[in-house]
Amino acid sequence: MCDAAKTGDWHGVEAGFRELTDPVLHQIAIGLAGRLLDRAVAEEAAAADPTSALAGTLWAWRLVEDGWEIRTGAWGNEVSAEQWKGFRAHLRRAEQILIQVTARHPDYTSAWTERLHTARGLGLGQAEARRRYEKAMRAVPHFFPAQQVMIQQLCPKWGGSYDAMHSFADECAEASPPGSVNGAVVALAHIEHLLLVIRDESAGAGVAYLKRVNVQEDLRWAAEHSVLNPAFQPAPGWVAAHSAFAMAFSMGDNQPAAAKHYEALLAGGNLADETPWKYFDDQVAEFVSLRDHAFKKGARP
Amino acid sequence: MIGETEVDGVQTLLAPKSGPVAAGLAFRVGRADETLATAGITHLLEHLALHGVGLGDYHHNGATGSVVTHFHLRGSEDDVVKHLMAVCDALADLPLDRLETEKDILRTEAATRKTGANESMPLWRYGAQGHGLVSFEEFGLPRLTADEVREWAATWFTRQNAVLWVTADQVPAGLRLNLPEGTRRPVPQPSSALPTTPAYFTAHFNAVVFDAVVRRRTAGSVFSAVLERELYRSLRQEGGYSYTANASYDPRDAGFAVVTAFADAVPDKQDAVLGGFVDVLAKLQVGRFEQADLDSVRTQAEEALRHDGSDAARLPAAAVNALVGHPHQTAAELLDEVRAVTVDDLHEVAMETAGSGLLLVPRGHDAEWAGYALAPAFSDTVVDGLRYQPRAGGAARLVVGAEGVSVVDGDHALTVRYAECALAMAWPDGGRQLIGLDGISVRVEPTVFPVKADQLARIDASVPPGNLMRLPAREPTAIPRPRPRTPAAPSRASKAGLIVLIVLASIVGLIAVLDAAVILLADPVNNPENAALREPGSFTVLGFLLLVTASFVIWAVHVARMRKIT
Repeated sequence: MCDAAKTGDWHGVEAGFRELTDPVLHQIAIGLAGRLLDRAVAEEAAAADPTSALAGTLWAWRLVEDGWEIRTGAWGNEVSAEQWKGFRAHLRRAEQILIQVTARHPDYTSAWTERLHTARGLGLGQAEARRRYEKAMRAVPHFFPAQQVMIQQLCPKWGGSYDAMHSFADECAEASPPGSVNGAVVALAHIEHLLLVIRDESAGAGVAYLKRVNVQEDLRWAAEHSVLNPAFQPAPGWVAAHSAFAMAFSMGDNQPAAAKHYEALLAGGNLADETPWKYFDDQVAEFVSLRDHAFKKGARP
Repeated sequence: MIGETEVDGVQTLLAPKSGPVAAGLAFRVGRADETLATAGITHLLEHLALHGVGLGDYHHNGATGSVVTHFHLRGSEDDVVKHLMAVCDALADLPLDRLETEKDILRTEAATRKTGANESMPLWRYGAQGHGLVSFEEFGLPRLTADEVREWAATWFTRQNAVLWVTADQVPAGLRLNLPEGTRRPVPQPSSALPTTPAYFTAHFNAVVFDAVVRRRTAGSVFSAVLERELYRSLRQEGGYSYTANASYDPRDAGFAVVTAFADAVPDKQDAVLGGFVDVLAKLQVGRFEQADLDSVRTQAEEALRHDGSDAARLPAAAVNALVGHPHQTAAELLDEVRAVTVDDLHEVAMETAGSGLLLVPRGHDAEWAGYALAPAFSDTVVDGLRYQPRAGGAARLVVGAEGVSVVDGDHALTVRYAECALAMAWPDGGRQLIGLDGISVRVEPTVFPVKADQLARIDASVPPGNLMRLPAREPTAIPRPRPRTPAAPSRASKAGLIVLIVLASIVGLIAVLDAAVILLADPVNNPENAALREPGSFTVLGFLLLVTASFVIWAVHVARMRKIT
């Protein structure tokens, strides 16, 4: 499917997606194919078949991606007026395509997840984001990708609050069956919290936050309920889950705990997920160095 | 079957029902036929016509709508005869001694009436004219004269412009309708204040409202009922974001109807109501209709049409149709149409609503993300003329020109051209409010801007004569007070600036004069040491000094003028 995307072979892309019946896998593949696919190919495919959920969603995904390219990932106050304008124009276009997709395919979780991205970028509001999230949940309970986006939505930098973000994460984890990947949203919430403490105070204060007993206890419980649970079976999203726990434990200097997650990623085929590691400038180097550190200090299990 | 006959030349519709008789006399006139300067005249007439027939033991009422004014009652045949004859008599000989009293009553009625979010839609769609006038207060009341009201009655309340309906087999014995001769009046053409649709505007309501103009057809009313079900399910039952969610289908004229959908919202759920609303509309616009919704709406419509008294119940609507020129349809024909409505028909209506839609969004939100263009709340142009800055300072400017008035503040401008001024209200304190046909309003307040009496007189003389309304003195609290000046500092500063400029101009001017004198008095023949003074360089210096003097003078004059204006 990735090869087809690279060469602009739309039928090949469609055929590849037809095999992805798991909605989480489908959503992950949207990001992969979206990045490889030329925007014009997605746009033409959507024009050729306006009822195609896949073509519309991939096209919208690219518009959002290109919009962020214009905006850059800088803190909001460092973004120029021109950049905001381009960003919003791209996101509005994407949103209008996605409105059509979800109107035709109300259970298409990939489009709802993308609509969470547009809602956040366009600042449509917390209740509206929550409504979109509920739509995804109604289609697929415990849909992990939508929960990942909601953590962002609920964090203070996007108009939420620490309380709202952490209680949402806890609810997601508690409601999920033991051994599922959803517990990782707890780690993602703590990482978002860490970033804001680093921004507003200092790197030291950030680490101190993660080292807090209650935070470590929260992380430990979430990890044991999810990817470290005896009931755990690798399901789509497991790489992202381990990657989130590994980063949270590493940054909080709990090397033995971090090592377990690095080990699982290594054993699974030397894998890692960009989320949340993309917050580092050089994510690969940071990942390798923190992993080595964890293995050295925390002792490989 | 609805039967048709005539009473004294008035088209009459009949359909029997059991119980007391209901009857109505409807006229093809309403608020859309007024202007902003006469707004309220039809309602005032309705009150005057009913004044003398107030206290019977039967139920009666009057209603002034957008294009139809209706007198209706329920009672015995005798009541019907007496009541309607009394109404006609009153219309022929209006109790005009009651004029001011009824105006007061209307003002009280208006003060207690709650304006809903739905009522603000027509202003944005049509502007301050025709169908848009229902959004406005009855502005014309203070200036309406007895002659105007009499003239209005003679023009609109005529036998050709009326339809009578009675829930009986035949016209009650002895009923005479003594109305003047006239003509059946066409429904006013709709104006437009929207350059593009779909459009949105924001307003201070805890609600989202959508309306759209569609061709009149049975599928349109079925669509509106299906839309209501979708909104209720999505916003109330599933989401819990709204308490009320409804939709209506209201015929506007012979050819078109307005579909209006409303959902209220608690403040912290406004964004979700807007999002859910947009998604419900999108669902129907892509053609996804729940067959169960269509079935139950159809069943309800069929039941209403098959009901024993269905013809009698349809009489008021049939009278309105007759007045606006919409062809009459029998219950059987309507039943056939209701049964024939398909999902494709509904989809067609949905697409029509998508094209003509207008959305009210709670303040603080927008709908550009959903593809709606912002409806114009500002003017594109600014008139030329005298510019005034506020007495209290600030960036806003008032412009009073030969063509109209503008207020400019930053990138935004509000302009009312005299030729398109729907109403100019004038208060004895000098305050003026001009409302344009597009609904845009400009206030000229001498307490805020230093506008002189001659300019106010110019405004008064320039607006269409009938649209100038001189009002009694306002409550002192209604007159805007400029914010108290920050302790006279700006004024003193500009005064000091003026003095400095005058002093500078005087000093440089004096030097220039001295220089000129030296040059003129120089005598190079007798006094060769002075020869240099007659060289071109000396004249350049003199020219420069004169230029600087002139600059200071011009600057000083400008500052003095600005002081005068502020």
